Amino acid sequence: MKFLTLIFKNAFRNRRRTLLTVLSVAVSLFLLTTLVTVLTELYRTPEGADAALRIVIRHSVGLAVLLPEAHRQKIAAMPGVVDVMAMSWFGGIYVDERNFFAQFAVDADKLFDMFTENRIPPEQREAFVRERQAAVAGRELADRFGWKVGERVTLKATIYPRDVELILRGFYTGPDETQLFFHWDYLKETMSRYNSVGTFWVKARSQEDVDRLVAEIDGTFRNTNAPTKTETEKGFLLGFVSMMGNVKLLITVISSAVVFTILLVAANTMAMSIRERAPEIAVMKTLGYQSRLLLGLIVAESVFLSLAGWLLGGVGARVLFGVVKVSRYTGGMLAQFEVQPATLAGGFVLAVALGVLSCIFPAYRATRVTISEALRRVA
Amino acid sequence: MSEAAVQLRDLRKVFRRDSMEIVALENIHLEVQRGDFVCLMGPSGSGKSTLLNLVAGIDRPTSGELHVLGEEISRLSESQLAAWRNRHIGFVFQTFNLIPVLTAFENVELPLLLTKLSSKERREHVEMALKLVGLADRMAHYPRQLSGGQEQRVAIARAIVADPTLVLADEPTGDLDAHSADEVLKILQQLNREFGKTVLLVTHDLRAARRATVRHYLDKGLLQDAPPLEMA
Repeated sequence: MKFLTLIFKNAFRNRRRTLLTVLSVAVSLFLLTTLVTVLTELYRTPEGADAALRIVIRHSVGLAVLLPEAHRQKIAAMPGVVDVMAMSWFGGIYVDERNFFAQFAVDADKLFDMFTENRIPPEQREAFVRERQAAVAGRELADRFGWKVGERVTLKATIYPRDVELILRGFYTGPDETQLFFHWDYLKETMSRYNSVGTFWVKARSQEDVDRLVAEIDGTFRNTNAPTKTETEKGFLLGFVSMMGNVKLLITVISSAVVFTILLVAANTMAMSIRERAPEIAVMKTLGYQSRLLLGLIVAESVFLSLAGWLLGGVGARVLFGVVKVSRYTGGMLAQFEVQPATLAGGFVLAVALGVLSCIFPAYRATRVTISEALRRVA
Repeated sequence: MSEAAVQLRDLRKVFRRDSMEIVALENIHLEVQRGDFVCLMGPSGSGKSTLLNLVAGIDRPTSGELHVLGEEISRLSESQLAAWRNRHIGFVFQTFNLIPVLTAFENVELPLLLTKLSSKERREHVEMALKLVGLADRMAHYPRQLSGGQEQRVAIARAIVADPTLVLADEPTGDLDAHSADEVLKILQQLNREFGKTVLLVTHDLRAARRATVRHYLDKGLLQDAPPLEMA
C-alpha cells in the first residue's frame, strides 16, 4: 500500500503518453469485448428449461420452400410429441423498410406454451388468443415504436400476396423481445386456401424423445413430395450462423490481431518509460531498493495502466451496450447484446497479462544493470 | 581510541571495456575513523568516485579487503547489500538525482518505505530531516520548483532520513553556485559535528576540503600524500 503513490505518480509521469496508451488499450479492449460479445451472442444457447426439448422442422430443400399443413397431424400423432406449432416467417414492412423486425404467423393458442421463457399478463394472452387479428410484440420492440395495447399495425407483405392488418393485444417479456407474433389462421384466411407452413415447432416430452424424433420425423416424410429436415432448436439457430461462413475463425483472427497490436503499443510505451528512468532506478537501488522490488513496482505500474484501459474499454463496453440496444441495429440477427461477466473477466485477465508481458523484459534488464553502470550512463 | 568506520586493504578495482583493462584503483590502503569528516580529492579520472562507490557497496572491488562499519561488504549478496545500504549509508550525488514526479517530502520518504515504520513515524522522520536542511516549508514542492541548492538539500535530507552511520557525498557542490555550495557544506559539517555522522566527501572544491578534518589525495588510482590545500 505504501508504494501506491510511487506507482501512481510514475504511471502519470508523462501524462500525454499515459493517456494515449490507456486510450489505445481501451479502444482495443472495447473492440475485443465487442467481437467476443458478437461471437457469444451468435452462439448463445436458447434459454429456458423447455429450450432443449424444442425441435424445428422445415423443408429439406431450405427455408424458402414451405411444408404442407397436413404434416402437422402426422407429427402430432408421433409418440413423445407434446405439442406442434406452425410458425411462418412473414417478412413484412412496417411503415418503412428501415423498421425491420422479425414477424411470425403462429398458432396463437400454443405460442406461450411452446416458448415458456416468454412472459405475458394472462389477460393479454387471452385477448391475443381470442381475436384472429390480434398480435403480440416483445416489450423492446413495442418501446422502439412507442406501441400501445390496442394499436393497429399494418405489415406490408413482401413474400405473401397480401398485407396483414393487426391489432396489438399484448406485450411479452423474455430473452428476445424484438419479435412480433400473430395468428397463422389469420394469415391463412387472408390468403384464401393458403395451407403451407414455413416451419413446425415441436415440443418433445423428454430429451430421449428429442433424439428419437429428430430421426423419426425425417424418416416419415422422406419419400413424400415434401421431405423434411428436423433439428433441435439449438442446431436450427446455429445453422443460421453457419450460413455466414466460419465466423468463429474470422473473429478469432481479428481478435488475435487486436491483442497483438495492443501488446506492441503497450510494450513500446513501457520500454520508453523504463529506458528514461534508468538513472532513477539506479538511485533507488542506492537507497536500498532491491531489484526484485523495483521490478515489481514497474510491473504494477504497467498493470495499472492496462487495467485503466480495461476499465474504460471493457467495463465501458458493458455499460454502453447496457444503455444502447445494439440488437435493434442487427436486423434480428442478435436478439440480445450483453457483455457477459465471463467476457469481462476474460478482458481483465488479458489486461493483467498485457501489463506484465509489455514491461517484463525491459524492466528485468533495467533492474539488473549495476548501479555504477547506470550512474555512469547518466554522467 | 576511535573505531574505524572504513578499512580498505590492498584494494584494487579494474574495469574491463571490451578487451581493454582499465585500472581505476591500485593498492589502496585507507582507514576512516568513526566521526571523521574525510575529504577525498584528486583530478578527474583519478578514481575518487570509484572508491566512494566501493565504500557505498554499489560496486565491487576486483581484489582486496573492504570493511565498512565492521562488515566485509564485498562478500554480501546483492540483496544483502541493498538492505545494508538502506540501514547504514546515506548517499549524496553531484546531480541531486531526485525523482522528478515526487515532491520533496516523497523523495525524502523513499528510503523509509523500505522500513517497518508506520506512516505517522515516516512523516515525523521526513519532517525532521527536511527541517534540519532548512526546507520544512518546501515539503510539497516538486524538484522542478526548487533551486539547485534546495534540490541538493532535499537530497541530503533523503540521505540522512534513515539515520545512517556513514554519509557519502560525491561532488555534492559540483553543480552549485558558491552560496548554495556553502549552505550544503555547512549542513554536512553540522551532520558531522552535531550528529556524529562519519562523512566521506569526494570533491574538487577547496572550500569543501577546508571543512574536512582529514584529507586524502588520489591520483591515477593511487592514494598519495595530500598536498597543502593551496596547491591542490
